[in-house]
Amino acid sequence: MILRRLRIHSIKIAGERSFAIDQARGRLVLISAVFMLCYMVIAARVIDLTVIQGYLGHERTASLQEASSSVAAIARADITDRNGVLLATTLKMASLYADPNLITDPEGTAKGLVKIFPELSYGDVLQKLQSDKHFLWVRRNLTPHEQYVVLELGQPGLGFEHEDRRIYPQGELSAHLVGYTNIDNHGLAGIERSFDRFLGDGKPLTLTIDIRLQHALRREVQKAMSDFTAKAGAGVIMDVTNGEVLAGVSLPDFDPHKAGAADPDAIFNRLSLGVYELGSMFKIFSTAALLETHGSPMSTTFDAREPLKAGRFTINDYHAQKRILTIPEVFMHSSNIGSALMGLEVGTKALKNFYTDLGLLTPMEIEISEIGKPMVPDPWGEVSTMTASYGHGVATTPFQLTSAVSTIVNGGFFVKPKLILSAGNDNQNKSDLRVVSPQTAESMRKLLRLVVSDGTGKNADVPGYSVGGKTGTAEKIGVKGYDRKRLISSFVGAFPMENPRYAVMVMVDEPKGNKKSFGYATAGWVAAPAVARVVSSMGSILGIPVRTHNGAPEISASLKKYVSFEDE
Amino acid sequence: MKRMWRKYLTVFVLAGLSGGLLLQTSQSVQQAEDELRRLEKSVDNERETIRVLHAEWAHLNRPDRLESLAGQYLELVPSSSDQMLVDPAVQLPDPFKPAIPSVKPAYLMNAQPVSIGSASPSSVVKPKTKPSKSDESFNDLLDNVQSGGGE
Repeated sequence: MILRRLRIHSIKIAGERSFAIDQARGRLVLISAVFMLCYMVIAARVIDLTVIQGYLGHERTASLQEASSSVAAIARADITDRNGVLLATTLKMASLYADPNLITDPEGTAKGLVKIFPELSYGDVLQKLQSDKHFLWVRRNLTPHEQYVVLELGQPGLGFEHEDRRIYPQGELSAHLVGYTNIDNHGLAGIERSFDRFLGDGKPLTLTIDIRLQHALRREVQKAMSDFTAKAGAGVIMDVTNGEVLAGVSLPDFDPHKAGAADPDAIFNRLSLGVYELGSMFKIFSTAALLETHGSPMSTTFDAREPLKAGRFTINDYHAQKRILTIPEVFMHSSNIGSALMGLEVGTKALKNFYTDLGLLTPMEIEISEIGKPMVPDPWGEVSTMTASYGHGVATTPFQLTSAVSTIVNGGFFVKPKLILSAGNDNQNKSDLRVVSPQTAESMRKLLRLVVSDGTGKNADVPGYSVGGKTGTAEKIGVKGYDRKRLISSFVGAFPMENPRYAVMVMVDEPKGNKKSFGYATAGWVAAPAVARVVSSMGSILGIPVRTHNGAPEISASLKKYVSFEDE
Repeated sequence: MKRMWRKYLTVFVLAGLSGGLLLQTSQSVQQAEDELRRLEKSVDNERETIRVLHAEWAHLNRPDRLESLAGQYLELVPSSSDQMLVDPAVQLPDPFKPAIPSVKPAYLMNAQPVSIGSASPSSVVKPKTKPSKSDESFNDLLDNVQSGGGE
């Protein structure tokens, strides 16, 4: 309107003044154009911010926020057992420090702190708070509640330092399998080590372990060790159908929170890293080899009247029968002579191949990196074949032995031990690699049951669960040859023998006989009762229905005609 | 001249109003952002607390602790195999239907303890009544964490 008025004036005014007015008008137009442009830019920006970014950009900001919060929260992931029970987790721990220079009322603060942490002494705290340092730890690893109460003191000189710490709520219970980390949360052993990256990326893991079974197994191995004042022990519970390790115990064990200070002997994983000559348990494999390669009938006999001379060794029987034995008799009396003769009949090459097929002679595959290399005779001559038939001269890990036994009793399908629970149902995890025929598997099941119902493993029997198994008492290698006093007594069992589902193995290192065992420290007295107690606990924990025979004969009954009981 | 003043006044009032509005908006945005930060922080804190409680729950439910507590306070022992069921053919002398339908197979409902030859004594589990570490509280566990894991 001003312009229009100017224009009206300009009509009247002419000459020099009209030029000045034109110039002023031009400037005004220019200035207002610049302003209008500015406002348009601002308006456009406002629309951009409110409408375009406000609605369309909504997802972008949301995802941005999520990303930032997840970056902050990425902590080493949890490890749980097969039922979701926490085995390892990461907690943000606050540690309380003090800057004495900023503390206004040392006496009052010290009183307050002692009230919150009764284990601190007033004098100590006061002395700390009155020093002229700038940084002092007051207490490490506070719970959130303690942290809250400290904040309520309202002291500017108290502060917190936050750190992620790995916590193992189950303590030492599964320490050897779960493993442990260092102070920077890097895995140093077990699953923590082999899945270090995976866990570090915040991806949780579920193990095949069942913590209840783990506890029952640990309790019983511990009991066997203390009853027989043994040095060490180990135990395994395995699902024979798919090799899932339901429990694995290596004793002595350690507190994973203080692994750095633990005894190396306690840290040593006897399940997968330790290799042991497990003795007569290998008769399971040599007998299976004979049945598999020769199809020998149960009535085949072996002469166990005389000790067997093999090179510089003499093979003796521990439970000497001094007569001619059938296959079931060799197995149930655990005759070394008979087994050595079986090994000879199978032949060196065939026996070696059979052991290899069962995975006994090569380092096993499992999801942890502590893996022991089996000790195999080299060179493997005829004498080695004889000793390897009853488990001398060949050393394997308890995990390997249990999976080889699982392979035989589950119907002949190869079993590899597993620690990580894979998704999907059981049938998908089943291996279809056949090692022994169904007929051999069935004969072996009968033989294993015979050992428990009538042979050296009677103490392993649990009524209703039809346990089958084999004892193994091996002498440890001493200064010169085998030491008769230092034994490794072990028992491997499976149940129910009609259709096995679980294998249980217990090994006790250097047991000493006690009154209850009449001084014996052999497997039948040490490890077999422990397995029975484990099986009985498993029954009540897992609610396994017992089987009644209702007069029907036992699975081992058909073998009894090959066994003479005259001397018992 | 008077009309011009009125116009200037209107413009100024409008400018003042919009300025005030802008200030108020920016203030409320700031407040909302503060609130958001506060909420996010408290959500984080709650999450952390939940993690701690989960860990404490797992620690307090350790099988050995439960076993020793059961030994102390319950007059129950683990069942042994000869106390368990089960013959589908045998009926309980006085069968009754459960108030809540069970998910277990029907025959278990009609189960009767089976009598088998007595177990050897060693097959019955007797829980240790007082394992030494059973009273370890969660705080004791956290105290243990001091030095972290390995070296």
